Amino acid sequence: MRRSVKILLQFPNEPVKPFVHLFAVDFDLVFSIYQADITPGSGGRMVLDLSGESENIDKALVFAEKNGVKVRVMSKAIRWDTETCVHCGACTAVCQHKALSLDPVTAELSFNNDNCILCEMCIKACPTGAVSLDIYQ
Amino acid sequence: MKTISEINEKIASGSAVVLTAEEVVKMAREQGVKDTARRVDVVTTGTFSPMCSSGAFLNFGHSEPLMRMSGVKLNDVPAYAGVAAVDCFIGATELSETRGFDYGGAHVIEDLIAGKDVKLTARSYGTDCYPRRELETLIRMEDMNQCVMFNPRNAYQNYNCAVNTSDRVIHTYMGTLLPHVANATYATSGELSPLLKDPELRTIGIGTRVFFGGAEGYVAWEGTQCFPSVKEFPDGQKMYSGATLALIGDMKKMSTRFIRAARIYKYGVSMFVGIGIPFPVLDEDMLSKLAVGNDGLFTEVSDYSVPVRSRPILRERVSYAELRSGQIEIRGRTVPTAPMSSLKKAREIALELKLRVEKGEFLLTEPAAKLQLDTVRHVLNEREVR
Repeated sequence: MRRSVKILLQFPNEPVKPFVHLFAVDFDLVFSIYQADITPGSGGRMVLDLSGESENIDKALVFAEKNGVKVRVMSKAIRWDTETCVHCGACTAVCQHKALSLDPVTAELSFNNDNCILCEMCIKACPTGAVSLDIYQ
Repeated sequence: MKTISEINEKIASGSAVVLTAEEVVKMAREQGVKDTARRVDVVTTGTFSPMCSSGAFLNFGHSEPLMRMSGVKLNDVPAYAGVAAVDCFIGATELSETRGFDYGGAHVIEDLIAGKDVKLTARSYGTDCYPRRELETLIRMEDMNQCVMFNPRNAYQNYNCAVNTSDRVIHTYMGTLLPHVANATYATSGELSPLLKDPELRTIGIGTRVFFGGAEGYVAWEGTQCFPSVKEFPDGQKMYSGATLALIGDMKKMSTRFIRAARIYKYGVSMFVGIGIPFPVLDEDMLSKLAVGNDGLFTEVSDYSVPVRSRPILRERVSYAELRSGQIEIRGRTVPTAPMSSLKKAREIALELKLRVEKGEFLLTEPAAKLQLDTVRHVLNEREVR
């Protein structure tokens, strides 16, 4: 069975294996990197989407953990508080992948997790603080 | 021809026909302006947008011993107290001295309306009649005397659509604008927007009763920087802009449904203000303007990466129908659009006002005096100080 997951990799401050390459070659996974901020000597983080055989994804994540990389699987991308939201649409201005969009009929905001690439720009763009990060399983 | 007092009689007797601006646009399209003008008495509008030029006059009541408060702060947000002993004005955009951009005057106003405790601190120099020098206490709106919202410039008739031609992200009061014109933002509720529906302000004047933050408010004056203008295009279509209103109303009767603080990233604090104006359908001419839809209402596209008085215009005319579609063409490219003002809330206000008028709770007003609409636009000419 195929599936896809969004994961956060936290790299230690010492050299590690070329994980993205190995995910593709050894585990036959398709990857899409959303964010990467890695500095030699001080480690860093990478947010990416992996898709492939479910079994291979599990194996790849265990492999990464065993080799010194901390793996966190993301369930939800952002939390959107419908009580605080005034449906102004300011967040949709920065959401280039249309995860946040206004319904053309009801003018209500809606959030589609599948389209979210975790750029986090909506969090700053929201005037009422209705959007926050809540990404880990 | 109908007069405002005739319409008010119909409202009082429960027989007035009241439509929201969206409903009247649809009805006029289906049944024609003439028929619609005959059948409809009142059209309600609404807007819910960040409006920086907002604030409130508060009177705390006197402490014992008496104090002439100065240096007044509410939850660490400075308020202007250079008026009488326990009066102050809290401005919506004033920032907290401890929390910066995260909390400001608009948040104080929202907290007060929500019934929350707010910390009041003040100091003074002490006089024979006002000896007290320091004060720190919690206050709530219900324990205060008058709390009057007075917003010097609200309900902008029309606002430009903002883009950014530079090569970096810019953070503006029109939201986050992506480089190379990768997005466009706009802030008017189009066919629901109050001052676009009576574009020459025929029925609005000093004393006009409006829906203001959930309460009844009144037009106090023309708004600051109120410079109405109309631009006519070769095809006869018109673009109205520039009119603004100064509004006053009882903050104690307002609701956080219609007044909300806004944090605008790397710009500061502003306040979402919910405003609705009911318009009398006096005649066909009035109705024909009330019935103009998003495809007949226009704004221009301005470049916000150039921070000068006259920003470069990238497109002289774009309709609200195009803006609402989610994308517009700018110089041959398709650019996604996003609003800064809530259409959902604007609809809620127009509907709420419609219900109040239908129930006879909200009557229309004959203005007490005309607004000054022929004012000259001044810019700040700086002169050397000797």
